Amino acid sequence: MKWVKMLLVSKVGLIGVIIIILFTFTAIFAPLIVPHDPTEVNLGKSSLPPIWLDGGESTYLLGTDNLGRDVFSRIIYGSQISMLVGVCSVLVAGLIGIPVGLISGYYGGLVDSLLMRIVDSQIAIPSILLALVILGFMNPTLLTIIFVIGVSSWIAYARVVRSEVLSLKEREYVKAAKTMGVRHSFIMTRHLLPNVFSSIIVISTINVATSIITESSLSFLGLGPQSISWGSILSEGRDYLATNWWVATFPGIAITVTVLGIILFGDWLRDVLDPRTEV
Amino acid sequence: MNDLIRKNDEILLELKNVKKYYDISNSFLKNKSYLKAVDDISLRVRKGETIGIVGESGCGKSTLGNLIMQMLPLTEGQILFEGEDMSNLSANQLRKKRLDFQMIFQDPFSSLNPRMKVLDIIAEPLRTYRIAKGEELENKVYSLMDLVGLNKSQAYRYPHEFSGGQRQRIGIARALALNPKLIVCDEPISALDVSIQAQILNLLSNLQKKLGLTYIFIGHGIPAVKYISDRIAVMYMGKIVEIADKNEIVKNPKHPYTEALLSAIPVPDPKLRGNKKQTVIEGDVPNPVNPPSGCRFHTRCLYAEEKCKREEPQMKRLHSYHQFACHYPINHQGGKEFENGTA
Repeated sequence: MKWVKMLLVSKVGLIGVIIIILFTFTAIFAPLIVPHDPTEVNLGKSSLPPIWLDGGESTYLLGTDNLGRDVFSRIIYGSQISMLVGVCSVLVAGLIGIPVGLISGYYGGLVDSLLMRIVDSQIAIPSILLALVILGFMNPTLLTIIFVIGVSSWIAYARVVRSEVLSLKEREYVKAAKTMGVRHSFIMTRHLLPNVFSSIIVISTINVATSIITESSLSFLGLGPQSISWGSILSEGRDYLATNWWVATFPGIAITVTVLGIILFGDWLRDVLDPRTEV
Repeated sequence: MNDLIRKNDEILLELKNVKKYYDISNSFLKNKSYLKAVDDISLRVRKGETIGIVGESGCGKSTLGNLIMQMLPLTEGQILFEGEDMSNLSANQLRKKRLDFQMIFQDPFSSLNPRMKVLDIIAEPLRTYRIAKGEELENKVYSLMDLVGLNKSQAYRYPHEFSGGQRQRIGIARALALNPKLIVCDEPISALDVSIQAQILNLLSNLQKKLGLTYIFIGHGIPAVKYISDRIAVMYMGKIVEIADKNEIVKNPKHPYTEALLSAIPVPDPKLRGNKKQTVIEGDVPNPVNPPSGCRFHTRCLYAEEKCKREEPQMKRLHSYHQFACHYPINHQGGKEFENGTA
């Protein structure tokens, strides 16, 4: 199989896949991994440093926060929400943005102008503000958070897909399909979409990162889902950065590594999906 | 002469005063101006023949091809396919009609979707019209590949794994998939190496014999077009300036522009070069937005006189198989009388 072969050839892709698998497993099997209940408050153990520093305790791998909660356990549990929000909100954004971009670029004219004015007007509103407004009349559950982040980031997809389609639709193979009488929906899904895929993957991978960060900003503002996420741990830890630096640092590292893994995976995926790539 | 249009000749395609103007008016100043890409072309294409269309870049020959393919709306005129006016058809009727006319494209590198396998590319028209599926579809694709000289073991490869000539064969197979009656070939060999050009031309003419196809062959060099065509139409700035049987037009060109195109053909034998009469036209094609008055060629014509600047020449008929639009046609044998008529 080309996929497996390419995974072994591309070390970068392999690293990405390993990171993603690792984090997915920790998210799924979180209850089996964690040494402590992530919400358990133990004031006697508050502000413990990580295990390798003076005063660190053996069961608190990455130390504890000001309430004595185990940072390691919280990060493991936090990966559930962060990964879910990151990936699902990207799916929501893509599901809205990609069709809009395809239709807008392919049909052009009035349809294009209308859709692009909607996009423009959304660009004018900061996405965090939009999210705040929507969350103002919706309960911040996990689903609404995913929806809100998705809705506030779909414009990037619409814009990029549209601009790619504008040039792709002038290719002769699109013209050939038209002269054969192929239906517009087929031209869009079979000829245009596969050829904009590499751009979509690049935006999506970056978007996963920004979604995790947006979720953390919302958590910071108290509008996040009422559960542990990397973002909420990070924002809580910020207040204690001078004394308990580990509380904010480790979820930060977790976000960075996950995002890196997803970006590496995206690069690899783009190569795999391109038939011109030789193994 | 088998190229005479006889009464019982079956006309497959007829263009009646076809015009395609692009509105390039400056909306702010309300200046109406048009780019006349195709200006009043009438042409009858008989079943089974090949009409070659030659002309410089920008003379409107590709636009004409696109108009015939119903890819662009007409500004004026009619295109009749088997006697049926195509502009009267509804979108659905037109879609069904498209089975009968297909196109072969210029650039085999952009005419095939890089992300589709050869099998899917050739099968696309068959799938679109639900003509075949499953194993039947596969077999049909294999026989099409065989027809154009491709090996069926190549069906699961991607276009980038093929050379230009092979890619053009894939494009031809795709055009043949629906058993069309007419194929518009839009400069199908100009992007290929010279050695491959002959192969593709031979393939096209063999297919024509085998399948009884009618071709409209658009090209910019007379030799290749002459090789495959029965009749040749020379276009200049959106108009047909001369149309004749291919041997007639080469031996006895009447329009100075045709003569110039012919004299641009390189002579392979250096010893014969001295004998050839050189007609070199100078300058570029004038701006088609403001075409010259009278005869559009007069700015570059070696024989232009006062009359050419004032009066636009009408199509004149030398024989029924040779027509041209020129006030002062080149005289090869002596005086001739001409009658007016359309191609």
